[in-house]
Amino acid sequence: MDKNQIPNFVKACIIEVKKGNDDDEMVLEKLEELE
Amino acid sequence: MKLELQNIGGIVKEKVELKEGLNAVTAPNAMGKTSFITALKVAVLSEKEIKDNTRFLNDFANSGFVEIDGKNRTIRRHGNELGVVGKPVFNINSKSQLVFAEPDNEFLDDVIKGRDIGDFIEGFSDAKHYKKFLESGFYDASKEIRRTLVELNDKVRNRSELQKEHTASKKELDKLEKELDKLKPQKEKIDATAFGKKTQEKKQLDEKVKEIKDRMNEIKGNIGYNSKELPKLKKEVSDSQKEIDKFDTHSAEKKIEEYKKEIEKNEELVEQVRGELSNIKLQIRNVEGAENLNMDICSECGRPYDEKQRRKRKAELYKSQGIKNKELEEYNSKIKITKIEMDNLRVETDRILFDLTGDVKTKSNTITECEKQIREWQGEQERRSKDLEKFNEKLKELKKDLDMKSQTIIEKYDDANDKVGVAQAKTKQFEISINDLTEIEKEFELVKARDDFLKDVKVYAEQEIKRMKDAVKTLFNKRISEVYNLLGFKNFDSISIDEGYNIVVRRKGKMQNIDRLATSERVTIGVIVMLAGKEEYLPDFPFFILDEITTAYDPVRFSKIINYIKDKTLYTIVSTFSPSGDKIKVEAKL
Repeated sequence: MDKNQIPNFVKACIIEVKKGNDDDEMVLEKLEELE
Repeated sequence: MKLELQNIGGIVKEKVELKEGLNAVTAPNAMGKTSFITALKVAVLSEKEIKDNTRFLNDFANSGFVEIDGKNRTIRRHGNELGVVGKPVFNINSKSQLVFAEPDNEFLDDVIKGRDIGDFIEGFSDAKHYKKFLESGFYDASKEIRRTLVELNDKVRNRSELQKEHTASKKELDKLEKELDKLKPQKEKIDATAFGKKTQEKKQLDEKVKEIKDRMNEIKGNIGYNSKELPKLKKEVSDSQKEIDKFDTHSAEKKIEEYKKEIEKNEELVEQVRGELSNIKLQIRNVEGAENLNMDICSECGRPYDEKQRRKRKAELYKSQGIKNKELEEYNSKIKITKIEMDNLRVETDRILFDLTGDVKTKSNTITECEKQIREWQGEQERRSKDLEKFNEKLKELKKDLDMKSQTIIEKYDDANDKVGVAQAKTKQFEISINDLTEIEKEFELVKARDDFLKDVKVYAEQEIKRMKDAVKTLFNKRISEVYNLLGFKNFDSISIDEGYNIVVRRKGKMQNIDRLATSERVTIGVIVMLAGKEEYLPDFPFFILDEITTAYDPVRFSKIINYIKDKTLYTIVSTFSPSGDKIKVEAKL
């Protein structure tokens, strides 16, 4: 997994958290999108 | 600026006009001042911040509002919560701690008491979103991935051991195969001779003998089982037969006929009693009819009929009706019991005549079959014993012809061949396990990459949180010093937020935590920190609210602060207590 993607990954997750999607499934989905 | 309030806190209805500059809000009691500050909070706090504060709404009302220059914000009671209609009149993005200097302000309280204000610093920046992300779904996902990783790790960690065992097994197999190869030419040579052929024959015979022995064992088992079952079956048949013989069909049929007759007799009696009953009922109706019509002649015989006689007759008829009803019940009950007895006898007859007899027949057939089978097996046993004897004789003959040397080579070869077979199976099993492990390792690598990635994400997010907090801290520190200097206070060389997010002061070259200072100094610094924050984050927000409690410590010092705020903020609101008067008043001076 590309470590350079970390800031983008975190930003994408935070956008979801702000929308109220703050569960583990959202994080795992975003992780799969990177692979 | 015009403010209109309705049903906010303790205020039912109020209109207030604020002037630019200082506004001293005076009220006769603490509730009035608090309600005025509450009104400003209703105007600017977020829905989430208002929701749980039911005290914002007057206890006797279900809705209230604040209107600032025509812009309305309404709150409504919804069960144990408050609902909000309308957007904030001014947007302060959950930074009310920077503009409401009052006892309820937790940020001001923490500053004054010299506590860690890291959480507030975090709240003033995006760091709060990063923290929320780390503490919710991210935490759960990391935990789940770690758990999977540990599970897979348990499976893959014995790879080297498995590999070692596989290599050893392969080595052993190579060795055994080489030994077999060495024996092969000698074995082939022996196979080609007449002796070799005889050896093959012996091998086949050995197999046949084994086969016969197995079959004989099987037969022995079958005979044993059937011999054990036969006596049981025979006893069951004999018991059933005894029961059938004992049962007298003729008497049973006779008894059933008797039951039928008994039922018929009772049914006739029932009919008879029913007739009598209907006659009695008719007579009762006649007597009661005559009674209702006040007739004095008997409807049956036409003779004169007085009231006494009628009552006597009626009583007699009801008595007869009771007796007949009882008789009817008795006969019906007799019919019911006789029917049950007849049915039971029929069931018993059926059981003996059909079920038991059928069972005896089936079991007798089984016994015959079983005995026949045993005889067959015994015959087979005899035949096979003879075959076995014959084959053993042949084997003896063959063994005479075998020389010891060739026999040893063949035995050695067979032994080596068996060992190769076992070693091949073992090696194959290791290969399958290693192959399965390769798949698991691939999954392990993937999960490990995710785990590593999430660990780095955590480090990155924590660094970002620290960076953002430090940026906020730096901004605060710059502003605090500026405001402090502009106010013209000289007590300290500097005031700043330190690494642990505590407010510290430098006095005569020495650093001191704020909690060592006098209350008036601490409150001054608290308000200065708030002002620094407001100037940085809410420069256009038109209010700065000071509660009397914050200003009362040192009036001289606070008049300087208020003068400073007046120049920076449109409306400086200071709430003060007024012992006289019955309503809120706004004045331009304290």
